[in-house]
Amino acid sequence: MIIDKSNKFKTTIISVRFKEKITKENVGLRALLPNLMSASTNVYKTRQALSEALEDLYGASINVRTTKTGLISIMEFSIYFINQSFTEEPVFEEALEILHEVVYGHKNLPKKEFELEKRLLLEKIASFDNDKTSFALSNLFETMFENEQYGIRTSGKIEDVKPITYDILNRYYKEMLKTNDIDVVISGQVDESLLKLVSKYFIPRNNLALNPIDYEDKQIEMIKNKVDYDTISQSKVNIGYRLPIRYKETLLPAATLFNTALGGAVHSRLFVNVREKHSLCYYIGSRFDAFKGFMYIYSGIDKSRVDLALKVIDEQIEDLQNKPLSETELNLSKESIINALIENQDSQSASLANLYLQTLLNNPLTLAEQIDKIRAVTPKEVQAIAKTIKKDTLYILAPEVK
Amino acid sequence: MKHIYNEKFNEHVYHDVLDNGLDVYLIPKTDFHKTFVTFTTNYGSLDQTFIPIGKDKKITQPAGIAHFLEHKVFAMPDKTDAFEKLSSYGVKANAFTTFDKTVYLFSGTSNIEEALVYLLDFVQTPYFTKRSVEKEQGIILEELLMYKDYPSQRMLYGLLANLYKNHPINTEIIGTEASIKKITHNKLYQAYNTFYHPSNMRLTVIGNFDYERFYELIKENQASKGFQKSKPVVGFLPKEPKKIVNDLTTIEMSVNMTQVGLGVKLEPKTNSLDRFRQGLALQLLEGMYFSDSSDHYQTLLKSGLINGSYESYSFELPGMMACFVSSETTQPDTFKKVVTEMLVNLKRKKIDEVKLTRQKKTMLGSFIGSLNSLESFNLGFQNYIPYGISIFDVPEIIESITAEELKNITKQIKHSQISTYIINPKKV
Repeated sequence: MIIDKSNKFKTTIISVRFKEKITKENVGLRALLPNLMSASTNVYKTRQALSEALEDLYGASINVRTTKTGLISIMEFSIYFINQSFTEEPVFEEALEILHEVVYGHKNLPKKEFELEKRLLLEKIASFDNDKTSFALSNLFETMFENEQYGIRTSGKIEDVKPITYDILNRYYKEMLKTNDIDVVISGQVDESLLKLVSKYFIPRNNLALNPIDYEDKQIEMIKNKVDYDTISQSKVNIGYRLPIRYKETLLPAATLFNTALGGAVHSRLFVNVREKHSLCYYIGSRFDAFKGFMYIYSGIDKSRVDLALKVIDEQIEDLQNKPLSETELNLSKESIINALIENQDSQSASLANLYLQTLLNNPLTLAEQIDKIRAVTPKEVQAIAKTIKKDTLYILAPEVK
Repeated sequence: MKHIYNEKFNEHVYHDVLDNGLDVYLIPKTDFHKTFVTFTTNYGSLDQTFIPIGKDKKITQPAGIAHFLEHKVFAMPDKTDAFEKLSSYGVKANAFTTFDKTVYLFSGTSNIEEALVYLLDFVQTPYFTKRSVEKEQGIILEELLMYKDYPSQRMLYGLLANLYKNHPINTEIIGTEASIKKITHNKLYQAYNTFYHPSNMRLTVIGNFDYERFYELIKENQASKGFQKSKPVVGFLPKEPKKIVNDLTTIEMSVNMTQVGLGVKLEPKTNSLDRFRQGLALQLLEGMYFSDSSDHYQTLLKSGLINGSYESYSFELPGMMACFVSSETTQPDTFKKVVTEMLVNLKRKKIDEVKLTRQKKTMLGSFIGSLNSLESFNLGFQNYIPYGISIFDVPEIIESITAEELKNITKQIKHSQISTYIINPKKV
């Protein structure tokens, strides 16, 4: 069991997570399955019955979703509810019962809800493309990771979900219960007696030796350029780079700092130069993914000034390659990362997410260790990282030319 | 300093109004690591018509000026950017403008005292020039364009414009292209001097800090600036007819499926506490009849009229109260017809006490959950002040809402009060 014990929050989270490696074949199944599991159970025959039970529990909420952490697909069933101390009712055990019912309360999956849940998922997948910022980002990843494992979308694509039939999904449900690794995760004011109660309902399992880190790499022969057009008013400009540093490697803190100095915080080069100095955009930033070893820049740019923005972005990267950061500028990035790490402890979900990540990496670092590693990075190390990055793909979603 | 202790939630609050009128709330929570500070002016996008400080005639300013001012307050006379300077203390800084307030904020785990003093200093150092205002117009027009691409924003503001003829809620917080271009540095000073006076502002600190020390620090900083306590700002809202402006708008956007939203214009009470209760009653009503657990929702889902994008919400502000139901749908006309009938027929239903109790429990649970994070505690805490109540009064008020109060709202829901906004996929 993974326990994030804390007395300062007024709510409790209990979560059960089924894990296996993400594949092209399981992605659609794993997107649809949790939705059908929470549509109807042996005890709660209808969605309405389940919703009412949750409302009676002071508006407890059940979150079911499948996400990925690196190469691992994680199907999560969580219940979030107020601490028992605010009520005169045994809400903790009631919450456990509801969660258990959603996960295990099916002899077979509810057949009569299948078509409805499938439609809802297909429409949800289609609507992802309405948010042009994330649509453009997905397109960058798809172009950049063409033929790579990492390009698989956890939400599933229309063609992953369409062919699923009730029988296929029902079989997969039973198989998943038998074969997946299981994490049981708790956060809040819990004591021994409550933990014992949890073990009555859920038992962790660890057989698959899953590693989230993706070591697949690619030689870049030519930078990919892709432009799509859409009815939008602002160009979404996204650039992907290979930055071959991954979790557990000694250079990880330096790579994290490079990303922060470039575009991960408000004092970052991109924000200050592209946004503030040249007023070229409303948003710009960069992110580093240490599961795969890549970095990307995302931005929304005035359509007539994309070329200038690209030039300024390139200049900023070249500058970080040619000159080491000043200690002052590097310290700003260090402080911003350290501050975020400490602040995470004040958010129940962020604190739990950090603990869970450390567990998945099978390399638990304490907060103090994480902070020490950040503090020790030198300007030269960050410069060395800057020199290793390679531009891979430029993806632009541009306003239609009238 | 007044000490308030709430036993149920085990929270302490220290409150004082300083000599210059600044409202100070200190909420120590020592089991947290960070401290979250907000410096708020009771000035938002709705405050366009007012009597400027020291004058006696009312004026009306361009829409979007509160948001514009929020951007420009970060510019300092020595050409530095206050945002960068504040961030250089290692804290996370931000600011935002809503319909009724502008908030400058930061959170962090170290250098909080220095950052706090700097927050007070930069917000209280206005510096607007003709040139810098012109440059900012470029940035804000880009921001406006970005919002234009969001269907949900178009839907909400489209419905508000359909419902309200004169009330400034009919315009986006950021303003319009035309109104943004009308903003000048003189207008910014006029708004700033009126609304950024300490008597119209509030400082709220929550988290891991020494409240006595911070109190002295804030008092000393404010005393050194020579502000005299000032009378409350006199603002005006235009008279709003009961009727809506437009019952149907259809636009095209780059979406994959048609989205339909219905908005209902309701009549808010004048007294703010009455309006607060009315707002809660409206939320409970929505929970009973339009949330996931409602019969209506099940009907809509089963008949294929909605999908996972379905939502219902409501809000109230001085001079307005409205509720909304929206979803993606393959049958926009049927959705409109069915949901309209559901809304209008609410007045014929007997309010089911079991369901009402269930919704009250849900509301109470979500309120307790909101006290978890320093951010939502701080911002939530401030939300109740304009109604003349404390955050700790909320559970009792929820408990005291009656079926009668819900019934009264349903009586207002008529065909003539409902507008529909449809976003169709653009044909390629």
